[in-house]
Amino acid sequence: MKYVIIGNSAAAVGAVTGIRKIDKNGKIVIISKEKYLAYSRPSISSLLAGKITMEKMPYRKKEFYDKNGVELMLDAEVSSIDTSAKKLNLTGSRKVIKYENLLVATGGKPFLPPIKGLDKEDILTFTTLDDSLKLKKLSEKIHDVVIVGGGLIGLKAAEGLIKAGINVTVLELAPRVLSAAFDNVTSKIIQNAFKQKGVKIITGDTADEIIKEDGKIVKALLKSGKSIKCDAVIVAIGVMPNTDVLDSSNIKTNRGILIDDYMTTSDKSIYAAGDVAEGFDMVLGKKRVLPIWTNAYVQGKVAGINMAGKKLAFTKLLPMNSITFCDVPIISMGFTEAPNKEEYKVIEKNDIKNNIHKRIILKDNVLVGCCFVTNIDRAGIITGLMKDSIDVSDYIGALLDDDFSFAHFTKEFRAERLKTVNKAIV
Amino acid sequence: MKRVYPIEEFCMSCGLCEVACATEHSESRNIVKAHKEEKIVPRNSVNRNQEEHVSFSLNCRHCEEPSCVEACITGAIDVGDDGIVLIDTERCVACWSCIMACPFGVIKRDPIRKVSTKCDLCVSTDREGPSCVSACPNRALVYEER
Ligand SMILES: Cc1cc2nc3c(=O)[nH]c(=O)nc-3n(C[C@H](O)[C@H](O)[C@H](O)COP(=O)(O)OP(=O)(O)OC[C@H]3O[C@@H](n4cnc5c(N)ncnc54)[C@H](O)[C@@H]3O)c2cc1C
Repeated sequence: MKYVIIGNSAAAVGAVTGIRKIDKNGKIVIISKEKYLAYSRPSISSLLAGKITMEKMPYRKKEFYDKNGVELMLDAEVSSIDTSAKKLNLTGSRKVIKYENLLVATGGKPFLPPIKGLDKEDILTFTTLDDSLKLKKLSEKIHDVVIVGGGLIGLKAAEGLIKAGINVTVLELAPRVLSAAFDNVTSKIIQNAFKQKGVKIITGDTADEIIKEDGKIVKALLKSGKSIKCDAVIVAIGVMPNTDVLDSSNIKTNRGILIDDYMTTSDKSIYAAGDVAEGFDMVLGKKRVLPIWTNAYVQGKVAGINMAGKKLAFTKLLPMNSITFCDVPIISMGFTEAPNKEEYKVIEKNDIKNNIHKRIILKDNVLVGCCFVTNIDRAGIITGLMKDSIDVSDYIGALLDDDFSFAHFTKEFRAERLKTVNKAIV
Repeated sequence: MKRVYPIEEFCMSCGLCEVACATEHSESRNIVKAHKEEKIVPRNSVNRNQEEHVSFSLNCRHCEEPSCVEACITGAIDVGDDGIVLIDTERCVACWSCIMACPFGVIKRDPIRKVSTKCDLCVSTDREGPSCVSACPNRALVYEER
């Protein structure tokens, strides 16, 4: 096979799109453990909440695969890669798949540290469509759920469950929720919004032991000694790169698979993209796993273009999140807290009572981070300026105004940007 | 591909382009009803800098490599074979990822229908060419190939 992709999510779809920009005919095979067409993973919480139905889950429809001549092997798991013979072995099957160019787009898997008293079969996670369906069914029987982890996934699960009428307690070991992706002000606003919806959020604490009676979960004992009544526990501490298929290979990994600007791994015919890979974060200035949808799609697309033989580097990798909790929309990019006071400048505009918060972080008059709460309109202009490392001194005072737009640029800069941004990459 | 381009020197900041857009994309096609009853969000915006007396109307640039498509978590945004970038509002879940991604700031929230909205060059309506261009009283918008 000319192109083989392991995984069938954002990075895989991006890769198909990238390959077909260059090579219209080369055979593409996608192997996926899940039995579904690519679906919107972030939307599994909307599904749980009953906001959308199964019909709305597909990210790409069947026609996408047909149109691009993709052979889909669903419900099939790659067990290992033989890099010298360039072939893949499948779990429970003697079939081997040969490849010329391979993309590892296996994404993330939930991080599950042992919790005393919580048996493996009792652990609930919230990262797949099947997890969501299972939880939805279960929600008819359970009443009180403890969610371990107050990050994006934990809070998404919480929001889905309260819509189903369940009492939810979220346990977060850090002093605040969402600390990985948002600043302290945003955390405060969101924590408050959840409180108003009846969700209990406990910070600086976590589950120490789960107590069962007659084989059923009845309560969680916390580090602090507190006891929380519950009949189910969801573990949402985080996701980690799913590098299992590489275990027997010599491809270089750190936390995730190490890739260069062309998404190539240490093996020249193997590429990696998405939650499984470590790309170069342009504001942080170092390699890291950036588990966000856009990143997976773009890395996948760039990988595909390179797999098809055209050299194209991708260097504008930025952490960015846009999400809504309890009807409060929040957006963040780059740094959310200044790494130090000497080099970084923080500018804010707040009306916390009305859930309004805007923060930008600059270094040498270049944007390196921001948080927007409620008033998120035109946030993309900030993203664009950040990605292109533009010196914003000329209009720094207008950046946080709600009507900030291209009208605040100098005439020359406006003309140039309107002309050049987002031209075709190949 | 033909796109809408503003000529800022001619723009008087009147906002008729927004009115025309909202009316064109309404059920009633009635100026007042579109605004007051249907509460249609115009898909374009007059970008204004009052202090500097700068104004011009801006709508979706229909990028060749759109950031909004890359960012959309549901697959609701796509580039058609004709190059026009469209949002399938049936599949939009109002996550606003496209708003975070668009470097021009031309995607808007529709608070009533809870979806993202943006210029479709009037292909969803039955008119020839974008309504904003025809409505501009001072020819500050042109629809052309560049
Ligand atoms: C609840 C939730 C909410 C989220 N919300 C947001 C959000 O709002 N915004 C955002 O940007 N991001 C969000 N994310 C993160 C986003 O979903 C991920 O960044 C994205 O899915 C990564 O895509 P990917 O293609 O790298 O991998 P994944 O989506 O993880 O897909 C990898 C696929 O590979 C398959 N696979 C793994 N190993 C094998 C194997 N050996 N053989 C065959 N197949 C295999 C897996 O089964 C899986 O289907 C959310 C995630 C979750 C769980």
